[in-house]
Amino acid sequence: MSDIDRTAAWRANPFFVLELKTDATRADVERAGQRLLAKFGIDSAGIAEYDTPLGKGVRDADMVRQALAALRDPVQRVTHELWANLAPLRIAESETNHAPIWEHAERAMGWAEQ
Amino acid sequence: MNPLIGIFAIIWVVRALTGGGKSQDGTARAANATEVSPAAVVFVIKIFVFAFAHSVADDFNKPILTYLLDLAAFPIFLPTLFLQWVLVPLGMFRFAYWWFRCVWPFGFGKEFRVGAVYYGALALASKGTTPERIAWLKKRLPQNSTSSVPHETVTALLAALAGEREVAQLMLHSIDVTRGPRNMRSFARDWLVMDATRRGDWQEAIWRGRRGRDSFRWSYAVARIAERVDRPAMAAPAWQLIGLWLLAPRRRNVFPFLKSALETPRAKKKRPTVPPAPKDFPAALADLAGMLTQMSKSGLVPDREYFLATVRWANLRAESPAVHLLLQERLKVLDPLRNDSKESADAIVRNVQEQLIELIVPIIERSPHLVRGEGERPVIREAIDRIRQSTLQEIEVRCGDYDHRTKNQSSLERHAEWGAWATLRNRAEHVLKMDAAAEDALFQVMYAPLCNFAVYQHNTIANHRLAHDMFSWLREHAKSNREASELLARNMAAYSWRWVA
Repeated sequence: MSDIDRTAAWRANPFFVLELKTDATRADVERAGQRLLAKFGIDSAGIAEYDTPLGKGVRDADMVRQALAALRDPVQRVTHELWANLAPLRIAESETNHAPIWEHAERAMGWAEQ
Repeated sequence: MNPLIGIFAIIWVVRALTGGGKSQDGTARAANATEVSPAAVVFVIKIFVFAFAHSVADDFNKPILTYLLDLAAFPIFLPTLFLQWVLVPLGMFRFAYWWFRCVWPFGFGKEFRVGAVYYGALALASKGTTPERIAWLKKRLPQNSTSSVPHETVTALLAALAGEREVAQLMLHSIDVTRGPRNMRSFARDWLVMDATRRGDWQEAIWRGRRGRDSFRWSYAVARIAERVDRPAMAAPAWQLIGLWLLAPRRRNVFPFLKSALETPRAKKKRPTVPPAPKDFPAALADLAGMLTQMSKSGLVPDREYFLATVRWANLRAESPAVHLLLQERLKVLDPLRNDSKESADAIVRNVQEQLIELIVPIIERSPHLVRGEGERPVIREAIDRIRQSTLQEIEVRCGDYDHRTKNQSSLERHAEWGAWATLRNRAEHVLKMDAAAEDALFQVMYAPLCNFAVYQHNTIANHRLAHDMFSWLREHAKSNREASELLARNMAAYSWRWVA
């Protein structure tokens, strides 16, 4: 795993945080938000992690509240709908068509990995 | 007298004749023909003491004493080998430091304390280090008033151990490309080649390692092996790589690299392919997400063509009429009273493009080559502009600091000065990698403050190497200003004159 997470902001999309589909109604949004906040209130196990098409995300109660607020605003909600509504991921072979880095290069010089 | 003493006397004569008494900068000896190396004096003293001890041992007629003395001859008379083969691999940095100081080997001239820190640092490197251990060695490094190659090599080595790779890269690059003692340049180049391979920058590793007659065994072998990894079709055949590996030092450590390289078939690399046109915005987003996820997982940068095509399709599909229509419909459903759906849809598309730029800016910042020559493409152009603007602002601030310090005749500690220059130079090169056309603008911003500061460093602080590096970098980018180029060339020559004088 690289030290830079390039999809962290994307995974924080309110639809992913609330684990909702993009066609969810306003009532669905409120219900999902309140349910999650209640679970955070009792410190339910595993509530901080959620699944997204881009991998696992980590949330807290504040993120849930912000997600709720964002989805209450129609313009913000439509923007987030666009980003959340993505097709299944496609990773092309050409992306890895170059030599990998040599992680143990320091050992070759007789150095311990710093 | 023991035959060993005769052998050591021969070593001394050979060292004296073949450059053991060279000045620390590796320069011509003619000017100092009568100067005796302190290491040579210590060597003679060691021979006399050793001969006396032997005669005493012979008087006692105890063979065990003679054998013990013969055993002690190795670390005393061949201290460099003892350090390299025993103390450094064992990571005994304090012992290496003090041993060097006690026996005073050839190779560092009068800078024996620098040599002691050098071997101490190598011992630290071989077994891993801690900030406390680095501080222990740093405390023992003399603060020279003038720059010398061994001193700067050791400073760079300590910077590398402390994780300050940019500083180490810049200092060692300067040592590698200018004249200096062969052992220091060999170390500098080995480290730079190692660092390039560690970053996966194969082109740099190959360029540095393959220098024709000016090559060193280890870095040359690693560069040729790297060719097999990066450009299999053009690389040397297996037998040649094995031969180079056998000739190079540290064979056991390089073997895994050779093995993995030989597993790469000598075939042409696959031509980079671009993703097929996505049918709609969700498909374009999936391609983008796939690329970013893969980058996060592997740490690898995608092919340039793949990156550009993925970003281009995401932008094109976001701007498509289908997305506009969808947005307007969704806004009507969510807010039936809204009467500015079209304008809002435009604003949302603009917002999506902004977010797309935010996603690609960190990628371009890290790998500017991805967008070189692509400054006319929408989204890419805005990302480049954003990075260039912020980087130029930072460069201006740093140049302002140089200007201020020149006027106030204020210099930082030598190591910190190299660090400041490393940062400025890397930021400037970053801009140039993205946008070669920015060279003139960049030169205009940097020329006066940097040139004046380099002159101050050269004339007042005697930090010649740093000044030379600054002049040399400026001259490389002074294409549009002939007068400046000539002035910089003269300044560089002043340093070269000092070097051989």
